[in-house]
Amino acid sequence: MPPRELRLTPTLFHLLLCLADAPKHGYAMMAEIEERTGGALRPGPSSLYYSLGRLEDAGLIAETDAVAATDDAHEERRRYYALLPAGRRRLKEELAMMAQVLKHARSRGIVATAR
Amino acid sequence: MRDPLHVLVLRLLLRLYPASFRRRHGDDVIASARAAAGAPGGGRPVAVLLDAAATLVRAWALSVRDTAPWLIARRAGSAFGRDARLGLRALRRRPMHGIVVVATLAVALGANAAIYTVTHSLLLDRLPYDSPERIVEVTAPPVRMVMAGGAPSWAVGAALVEHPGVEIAATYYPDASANLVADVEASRVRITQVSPTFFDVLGVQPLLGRGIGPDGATDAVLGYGIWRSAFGGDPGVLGRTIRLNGRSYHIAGVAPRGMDFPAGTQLWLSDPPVGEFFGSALGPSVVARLRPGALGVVRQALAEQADARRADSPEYAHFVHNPELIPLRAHLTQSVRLPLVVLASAAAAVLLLGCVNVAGVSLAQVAARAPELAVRRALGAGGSRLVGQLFAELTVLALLAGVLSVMLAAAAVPLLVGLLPAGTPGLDGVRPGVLTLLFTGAATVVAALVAGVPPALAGARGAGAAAHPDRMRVDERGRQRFQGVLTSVQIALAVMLVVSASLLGRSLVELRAVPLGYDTEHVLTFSVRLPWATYAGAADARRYAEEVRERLAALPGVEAVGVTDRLPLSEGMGVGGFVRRSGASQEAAVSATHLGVNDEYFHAMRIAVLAGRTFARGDDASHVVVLSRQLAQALFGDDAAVGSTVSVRRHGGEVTAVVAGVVADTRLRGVEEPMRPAVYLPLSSGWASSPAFSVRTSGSPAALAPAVRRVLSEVDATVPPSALRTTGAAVEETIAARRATAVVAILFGAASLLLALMAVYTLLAQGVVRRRREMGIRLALGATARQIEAVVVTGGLAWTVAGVVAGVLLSLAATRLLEGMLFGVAPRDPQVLAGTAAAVLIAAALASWIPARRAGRVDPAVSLRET
Repeated sequence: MPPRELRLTPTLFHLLLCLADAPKHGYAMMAEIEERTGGALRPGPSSLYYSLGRLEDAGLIAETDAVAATDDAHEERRRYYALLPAGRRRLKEELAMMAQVLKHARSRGIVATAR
Repeated sequence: MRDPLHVLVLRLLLRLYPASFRRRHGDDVIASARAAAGAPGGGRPVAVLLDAAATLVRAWALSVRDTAPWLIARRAGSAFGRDARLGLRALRRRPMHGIVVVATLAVALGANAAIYTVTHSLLLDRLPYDSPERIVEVTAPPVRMVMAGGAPSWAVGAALVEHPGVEIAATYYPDASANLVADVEASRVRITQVSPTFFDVLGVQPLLGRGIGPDGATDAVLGYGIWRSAFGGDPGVLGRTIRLNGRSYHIAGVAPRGMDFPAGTQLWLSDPPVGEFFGSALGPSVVARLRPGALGVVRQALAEQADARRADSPEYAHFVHNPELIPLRAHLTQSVRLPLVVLASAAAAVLLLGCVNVAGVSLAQVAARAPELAVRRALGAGGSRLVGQLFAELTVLALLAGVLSVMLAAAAVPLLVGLLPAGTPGLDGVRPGVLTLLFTGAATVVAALVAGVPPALAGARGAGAAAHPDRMRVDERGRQRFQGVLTSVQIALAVMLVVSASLLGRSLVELRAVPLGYDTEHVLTFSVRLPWATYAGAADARRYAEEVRERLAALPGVEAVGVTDRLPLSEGMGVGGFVRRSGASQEAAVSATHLGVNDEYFHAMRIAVLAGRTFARGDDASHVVVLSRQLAQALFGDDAAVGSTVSVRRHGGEVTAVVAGVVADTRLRGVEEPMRPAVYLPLSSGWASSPAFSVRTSGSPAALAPAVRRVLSEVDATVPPSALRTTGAAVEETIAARRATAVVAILFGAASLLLALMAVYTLLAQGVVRRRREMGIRLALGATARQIEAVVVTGGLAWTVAGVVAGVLLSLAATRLLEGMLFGVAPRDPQVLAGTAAAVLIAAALASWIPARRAGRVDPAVSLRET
């Protein structure tokens, strides 16, 4: 069955955004999202991995072992995920759409202009 | 380190997740929850558990969405499996039924699979050329003469090469051959000399090397087959020298596998054409690559140009033909297309007949099982369940038959290929492949539907009616009638197939009966081609032929050795010229084939001498000739020809000679070709560079072949024999395609007749079982056994007659397809039609007689006591 076009929920979007600069492991993404959204979005471990699984199935991210474990040596081996080209494309499209919406909103004076 | 409580609960929750999720993410989820628990804030235990519960639902939803279609398919599959199991159990109780159904369908499907395999590889397979639909062979092509290296040659005419619809065109010279001397012993190979653009027109990249260069007068491209056989597939063969009739060529390339255009070519050389490679001087053939969709405009342009030329020079109008553009595939397959279409149609008819037969047999089975079905119905099986079960039963049998049929096809394909003319392009290594499997699969499904649906529906309906005895009787009669119709359909198809087989068989018999004028059993023939370099003149050729003749004559078992410049059924045009009675006007001259023969030729070939004598040693054309019967008749009518003088125009001059004798007519070009008048001249007066020999043997001619080869290699090892075979083998080769079609058609006809007769038998036998009581009463009331038999036979006869009539009508329509394949018999030959109809009627009556006899032997005392 060909994978259907995945609808990007906020969690999925933020996960893609997390991976835009470097491959990361699950817990790091969890912490990063919480910090970036000021705690508005706090994916729990179950939904985090559920979401990562969906992104992986959709061909947007992939598990990678290209990263050496820089964390504490006694930590269990962690799974790192990296953005695939399709994921990067998808993220860009999403951001472009957001920028478009924001520009539109500003021109109507709905949102304050950027400083 | 001990896990906090919420992590332990999370562990338990994880067990409820779909297994796929647990395996994939379980450890990561726990690890993350642990890591979060160790972080400042303690990982918010309640949030983590709520999150886990929500994700549990989502994970299950996703899992069901991904796997649901499979589940449904499995559920349906298990229903089918149950039906099939029930069906198989029912079959175990009646194994003969299953065996008959599987055998019928397997043979019918196998025949189709085998013919499909061969047809596909010949007519539909990819040609090894780039976009072959754009390549056309041009007959009567526009050409112009050019000088190439001081020798005249031909180029494609401007009308073609300059037309915008033509991408590129090339000339080639087919039907040439030469003696190849490579490392191994000399062999005669088929060569084609081509212009440098030839390979571009076909869109073929050589497997090795570059192919023929624009100025490569000595370039040779090896065919794949000869590269493997004579050069061991050596990749370092490029640049090596080969010798053809003593001329040196350099191997410039190896053609890819499958490339053998024009048919049978083993070696391609650069033009201009070398005269000694040809039997006779011919103009070039032209092949062109058109631009997409340009076929119509190019054809139009060529026709217009031909019209213009006819208008320009009315005196030559007669010689100007309209060029035709024949697409390459049609050009390559024209000789086998019709036989294959006929066989494929016949196979389809056999399959249809087989399906109808199986439907009829199964219908009878359904009737026999009416009580069982009624019980099932009463126990709550719905109509659709019963249909499903009956259909599943047949599907299982059809699938079994499908598997068997592929094996049958694998065994039948080589036999079929063996029947086709040797050297038909595209027949190498034909075997059932993936496409055959797909085709057979599709045919099996269709067969299962055609054969399975009618009995399944009848069974379900019958089972419903069985609960009500009166309705059951009505239904039973309807079923019987339906089965009668099925029987008629089978008879009709069988009549059509038998008529076709008879027509093809009769054609073959007629062909074999054609008087050839020469012996086909004890004559071994072959030809040689003498290289001009070593046999410069007629004297050399004569010396060679004389030496070979002497040595052959000395072999034990050889009775006579004929030498000629042209054997019957050999390739090449032959030389013709006009012959007239001395003193008669030029208008009274008759066109005749010229044949140079030695003194023993007529004896060796067993050509009957009708009057006078044949040649003696020392005769020469300046004083005697021998005429064929037809020519003698045309020139002299009823007057005595022997002793009269005739004028024979030959080599531009005219000689006057006495007619020494008249011999029987012979068929030179083929069994089907009309006879032509022929004049025989003593060979000593004009030696050809390609003499041919006919060796009359007292024993088996084939056994002499090795000795003949040895003699030839002793005389000149660079001159191998070509077409070393008996005249009978040569004749068989010319009718191989017809023989193949006839043999297969006769097999089909016999199989179909057998099936149809089985159907008649089943129909009546069943009726007899059903009407035992009635027969008993009739007998008790005084009917004789003979009268009872008559009742049964006539009951079956109605369906048979209907089938025969329909079959004859069907044949009248269908045999038109055969028209091009018949010889000596018309497609609507009344004798064949009437004979077949009568034969089928008699056979059907015999098939009816077996159950009829059983009916006549019913013991009233027993049958009346049965309930």
